Amino acid sequence: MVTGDYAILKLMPKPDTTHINFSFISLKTCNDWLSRLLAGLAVFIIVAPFWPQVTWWMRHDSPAPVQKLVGHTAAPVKAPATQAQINAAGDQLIIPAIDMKETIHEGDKRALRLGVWRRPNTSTPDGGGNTVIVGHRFTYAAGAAVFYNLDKIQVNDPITLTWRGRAYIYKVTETKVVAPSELSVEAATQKPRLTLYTCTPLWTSKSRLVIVAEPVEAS
Amino acid sequence: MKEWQRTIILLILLALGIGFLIWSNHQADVNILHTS
Repeated sequence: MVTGDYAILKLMPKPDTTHINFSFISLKTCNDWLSRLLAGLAVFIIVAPFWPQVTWWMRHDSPAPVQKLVGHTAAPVKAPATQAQINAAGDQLIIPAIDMKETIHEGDKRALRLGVWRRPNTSTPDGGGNTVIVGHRFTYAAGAAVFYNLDKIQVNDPITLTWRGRAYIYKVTETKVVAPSELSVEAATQKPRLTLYTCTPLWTSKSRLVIVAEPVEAS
Repeated sequence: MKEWQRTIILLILLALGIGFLIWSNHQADVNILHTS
């Protein structure tokens, strides 16, 4: 660059970096939208872990107008009573005590993202032995928090499994918390048994909450 | 604060938020009993 060119550059006005205008959007508009996006993300991160609990309270401790607000149908979850209902249900895990009715998914680990997952190394309701079903307690986006309320299940609560056109009714006999390494939870058993487990305490994977149920009758 | 500085801060916060969600989902992925 020769001296004359430099002199011309010095005479040119400095660009205004506070109001950069792209051809289609200004930086300020871009920042405004980024701020809104960030605020939405922050609200989601803060509220999502509590939302299932809030809806639970609304369903069980609030008057009807609030129940409508969260889309709750007044009818509680019930086990199918007739063969037609059982056939229509498909393979489902039904726990009236926590208003839960979920399709049981089969396959590899990816099935856990879809909801409740029957562990493939364990038995099935019609095969006797230990049928183990797992689900997430809470995740942001890795799958539905189907077992969020599993800690609300108590001994003697009924659980119904509809499986291959038959209904299997169980009664909870034990709830316990074990270490994540406690493989005996999934061990085969002589007697038919249903085992459900998920993470505990809530929002952590420190331990596993295990629900053991034994069959009452089969229809 | 200039607009471009604000943009950088917002993008960093957004990246942190999205990073947290990805990390959280990864934690959930390893939650099977025997893969503690």
